[in-house]
Amino acid sequence: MELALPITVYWDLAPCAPSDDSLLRICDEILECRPLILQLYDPSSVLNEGVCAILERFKRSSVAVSLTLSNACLSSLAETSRADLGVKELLGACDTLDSLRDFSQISELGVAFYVNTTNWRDLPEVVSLCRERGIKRLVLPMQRLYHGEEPFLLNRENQGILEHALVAVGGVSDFRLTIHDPFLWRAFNPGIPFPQGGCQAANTMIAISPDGGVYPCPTFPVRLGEIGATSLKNIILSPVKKVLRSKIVRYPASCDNCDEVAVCRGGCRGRSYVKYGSYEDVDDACR
Amino acid sequence: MSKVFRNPDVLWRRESDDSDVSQEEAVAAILFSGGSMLSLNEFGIELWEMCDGQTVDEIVTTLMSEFEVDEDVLRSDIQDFLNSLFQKGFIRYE
Repeated sequence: MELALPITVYWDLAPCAPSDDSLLRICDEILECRPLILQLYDPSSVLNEGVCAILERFKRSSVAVSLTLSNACLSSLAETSRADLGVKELLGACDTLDSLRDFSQISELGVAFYVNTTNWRDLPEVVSLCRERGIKRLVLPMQRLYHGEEPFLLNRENQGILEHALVAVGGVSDFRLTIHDPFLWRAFNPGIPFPQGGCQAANTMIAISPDGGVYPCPTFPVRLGEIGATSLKNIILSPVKKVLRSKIVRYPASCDNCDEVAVCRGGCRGRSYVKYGSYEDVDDACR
Repeated sequence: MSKVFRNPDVLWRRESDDSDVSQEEAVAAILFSGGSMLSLNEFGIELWEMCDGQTVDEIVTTLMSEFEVDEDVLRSDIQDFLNSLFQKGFIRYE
């Protein structure tokens, strides 16, 4: 289903974003687009005024806010402070086993584990550690590829290795998982089709980078516009966005005769775009 | 008779006229929960909004006044719709 306005907005803040009018203007522009969910990420080590001002703005709205904070920031928050944030979900950001071990021992929190080339083999231990601590919510966030970063992918062989390793630690059926990468999904949920019906970049989701750039999703580094130069809603309704969407709404033609397309839905289109600079190439994780 | 309630974890919104996205059938609203999205037409969203503690009989009675349709047909349509919402976990009965 193609939507005029996204249901999820990803907004990555710059560290220690000050509370100023520009942040609140972005809040209002997001609200004008009537999303259902705001995925807000703040890498700061302490809870700063900017985040507090944003959360205050959204408290009066129907938008469900999922807030991801650094472990240091979470550790500095008392239980009452966490409750006062008024968010639907609070996640702690980790990307190493050590950072997960240091993770505040708070079972009601979820973990956002940023998977990359060096840590993907740790995922079974991540699952075990979370289980030991009573943490049942695990998110494997989308890669942030705003600035030409090298995309991470699991090739077919490593998907199989991960799948078996996850089975060996008892599987993940007791977790509430969010996995955006269709091939990571396959390792965690073998045989179960990826649930999102193909790439949702610039359809059900839109992303705002720390510098105010607007992207189809955090993994799709095609800048659609910039907040401040024009409104978020105008960017979302713009021909630029519609043309991009029309190019990715269907999986690549080379997937046409593939038996697995019903499961992977054409893979990550942003990742293949980064690799090949084309909207029509196959995600390398499929190979 | 049991009452029908929306699952409070389901996020939903009415769709506005901002869209010039062509759809086979007009989408009046979308529901979203746990990664699943469901589109509703006008009849669907009206029914969804009535899932606020009313019984199926009460919903049928209300909608009978709006539609010129055989009650059995309407009841069957309503029950089919509620069954699909229940299977997706979007509503619960109490």
